[in-house]
This record gives sequence, structure tokens and C-alpha cells, in this order.
Amino acid sequence: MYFSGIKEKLRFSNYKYNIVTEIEKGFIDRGYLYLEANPFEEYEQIVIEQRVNPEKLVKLVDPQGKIKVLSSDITSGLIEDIKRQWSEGLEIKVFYRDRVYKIKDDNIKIFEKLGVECFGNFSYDVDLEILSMAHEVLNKFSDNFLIEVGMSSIVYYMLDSLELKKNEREVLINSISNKDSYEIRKILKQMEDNEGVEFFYNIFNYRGNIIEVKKELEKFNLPKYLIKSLCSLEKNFIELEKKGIVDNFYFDLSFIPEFNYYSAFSFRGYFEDYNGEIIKGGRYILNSTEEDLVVPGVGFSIEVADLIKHLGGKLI
Amino acid sequence: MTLSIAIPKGRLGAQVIKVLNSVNLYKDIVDNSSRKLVFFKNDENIVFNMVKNADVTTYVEEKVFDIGFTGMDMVMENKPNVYILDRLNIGVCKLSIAALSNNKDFKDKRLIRVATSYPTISKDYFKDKGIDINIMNLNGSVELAPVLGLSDVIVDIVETGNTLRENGLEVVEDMYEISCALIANKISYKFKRKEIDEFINNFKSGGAYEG
Repeated sequence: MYFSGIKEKLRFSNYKYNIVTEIEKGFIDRGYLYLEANPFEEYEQIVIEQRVNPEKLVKLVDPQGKIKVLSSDITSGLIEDIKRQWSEGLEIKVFYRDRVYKIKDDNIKIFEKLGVECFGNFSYDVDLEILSMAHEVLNKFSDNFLIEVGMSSIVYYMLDSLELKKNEREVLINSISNKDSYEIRKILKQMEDNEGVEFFYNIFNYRGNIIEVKKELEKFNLPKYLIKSLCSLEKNFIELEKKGIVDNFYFDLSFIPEFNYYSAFSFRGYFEDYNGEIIKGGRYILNSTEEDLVVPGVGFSIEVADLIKHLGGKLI
Repeated sequence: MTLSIAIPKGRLGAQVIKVLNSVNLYKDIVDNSSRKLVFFKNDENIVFNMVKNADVTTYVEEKVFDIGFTGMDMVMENKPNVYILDRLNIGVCKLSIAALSNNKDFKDKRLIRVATSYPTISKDYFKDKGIDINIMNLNGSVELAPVLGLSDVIVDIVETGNTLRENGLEVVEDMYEISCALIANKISYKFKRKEIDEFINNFKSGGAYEG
């Protein structure tokens, strides 16, 4: 960002500081504690887990010759710390304010993130708390916003049933993300009719009212854990309705987030008058075969730069 | 909520307007013979905007317009972060590789010189095939490049093939089928889904969909 003078830079920095502090106050009031994330990730681990496109990572070599990555995603950094020091039965609620680094347009770009995570709790109450908190944050700044909720774990499960080649799978995922029904039909036409093919032919119809979508999905042979996740999300939507805020939420099964680690629902928050994503979040499971560890997590992050751009100097 | 729509100027736009005129709701709103660039349908809060075909993807991606009609070649070249809601059966053509009829030896070259207005598509296509190329980026009259010795081949849109033939060129390989696409800004589509779906359904009744 360019500033014409130090006074302008100071004014902007303090404006941003006040906005961020105001949001953090809301997190603290709900009992969330501040945690600093590890700025480095293991390159090999990211490649194995296929969490993110390696071309987008900012790599560096440590004195031992090992390739490290400057944090590309705060949640992953937190997960690494949590994994090492986790003990059975622990439940922690944290918030963070940190930076992530990515390669974009052949340059290193820095993104400032502010967010919350809750580890060690599988219950739907926590999901509801996180969805409500995301709603609170957006509602602080505008009346006209939307939280899009998806369940990419169902999409990935159905994708596995198609037995596609790696590149076909990528094309299909991209086509779903782009709502490109023409390209989807082109891929499916070459395949024999089965449950998966029927699912993807209708992928853009599974949106809107989650109760109706859930009924539609009953004809597919989904495993118990996915049905449980869907029921839990349905319960959350009913609660959001009781709170009178459900109109700001929209369920769309064709919404697939950039990171594929979400084990149940995931969501994005947008303002009507801003061309970008302000909030990103969802539920995931931290697995570690070495330590025989399974830790559930749920949370969201706020794109600070986008939020500030949207506000354009407006006070809360 | 106002719905803003980008229509490309030129041949493709003329075909889009023809379909619009065949739908009662949108009949005689956009006047292709006028020099005006903005047309309003006040009763439904729709604004039609005439822009250059090459700029439609930028306007829609940047949320200046909610949806837009443009050639699939522009979508493939500019790779905008937009939804591609559907393809229409207008503006149908092919993106092809063409060379001088008397020059078939270019395939043996280690580095093929390609003249095109589609550098991204060309780079991706030849990379997938493992062929090294040198791109000559041109903005028009691409057919001249092999004739004047600037390139070995061209990558360009081919409709009838008449322009190629008249310049002594012929198609060596068809790369992609191209037609008009209807694209939408990702945020606009989330907030104006009802309005956009309604417009698409009405437009569909004009019979321009590939299905």
C-alpha cells in the first residue's frame, strides 16, 4: 500500500488497529485466548497432505538444508503446535492475529489474518457458536452480508466414487467451483450412469434450504459420518432461524473451498458491496498417525485487508 | 436490486442482441445501430452495457457488471475469477492452428514461432503437448504473420476458413470449440441469484442455449 506521508501511514495503521482490536474484544468476551502461530511449516508435510498448491508456497531452506515454508495458512501453523502438545480431553478456544505468505502473480504477497479456532470439541454447539460469531463480525460492519455454507466433504466423497484420473478430477472440481455446468456435463457424458454421475449432474440443485437438500441427498449412499455432519448442520440452521439470523446464511453444496482439509461444513462470508471474501472457516479434524492423535477443530479467519478496504475509512 | 449486464460490441454482440430481441421481455431495449453504450429496462431494473468483447471478463470479474456475454476464447485467455454459468449456441467457431499451405515442415523445428492474439491459451496448449514455442503477440491481422515470415504458424479463431484460404493458409489442427459464454461475478451471483436466474430463464426462451 502506498502512503503520501508518514502521517497518512500512521492514521491508516491506527484505524486498522482500532478495527482489529474491536473484533478481538468480541473474541475475548466469549472466552477465547490469544495464541501466536508458528510462522514456518514443513514443505514435505504440505506436499504429502496435498493441502495447497506447492507453487503458491513461499519456500526457504534452513541451515540443515531442509525446505521450510513461510506460513500459508494460520490454521495449519496452529495445528502443528497443537498436535505436539495435545493431551486427551483438552478443549481450547483461541484467537490469533497473524500473517500468511503466498506467491501470487510471480510475487510474494502478505495477507493479514485475524481469526478464532476451537480445538477438542466435536459438538454442534461449538459449530453454532462459530457460525454466530462470524455473523456478529460481519454484522458489525454491514446489514447486507451473506455467509455461504457448504459441505465439500460430501463432494469429495462422491468424487472418489467416480474413479477419475487426477487431471479429470481437477477439471471437475474447477468446473464445480466455476459453476460451469457445460464442462461438468462434458466430463459426465463419457461415464456410465451411476450414483456419482447422477449426483454431479444435479450438483447445482443442492442449494438453498438445507432441510430440502438433505432430503434430496437421502437417495445417495452416504456414509454415517457424513450423514451425521449433515444432520448437525441442519440442526445449526434451525438454531440460526430461532435466533432470527438464518436469512444471512445460504447452503450451497457446490461451494468448494480452496483448502481441502474441512471434514464437515465450511463457509465464506461476503458483503454485498465488496468484491471479495471477508471470512473463511469451517470444521476439520487434525490427524497424526505418529502420535495416534485425532483432534477436532472448528473456526474462521478474517481477511483484514479486505475488511479495511470494504470499510474505506468508515467508523464502526 | 439492479442487474447490470455486459454485452460485447461487434459481431458477437449483434447475435446476443438478436436473441434478446426474440424474447418479448427484452425486445427493442438494446439498439445495436445506436452509438449509445448504456440501455435501461426500467420496469425490471436491468441495465445493458455495451463494452469491447475483450474487456467483458475484466468488467465482470471486478464487479462493475453482474453478468456478461463474451466469447469462451476470452474466458480461456483472460482466466477471470468468475462463474461460467453456461454456453450459448451463438458465436460458434473454432480456435485453430493454421500454417501456410506450402509449409508443412514447421513440425520438425525445435522451436515453433507462433503468432497469435491468444498467448495464454497458446502457451498452455503447446506446453501440454510438450512442444517448445516462441510467441509473437499480435492484436490483429494475424494471418499476415506467416506470409511475412514472422511466424511458422498462427493460433486464431476460425469461422468459415475464408480469410485463411484467401491468405494462402490452412488449418493444421483444431484446438478448441468456441462459443458465447454467459459469465457472472461470484459475489453478484450470491446476492442476486434470483434476478440472474430469472434473466437466464427468460433469455433461454430465445433459444440460444447449447443445453
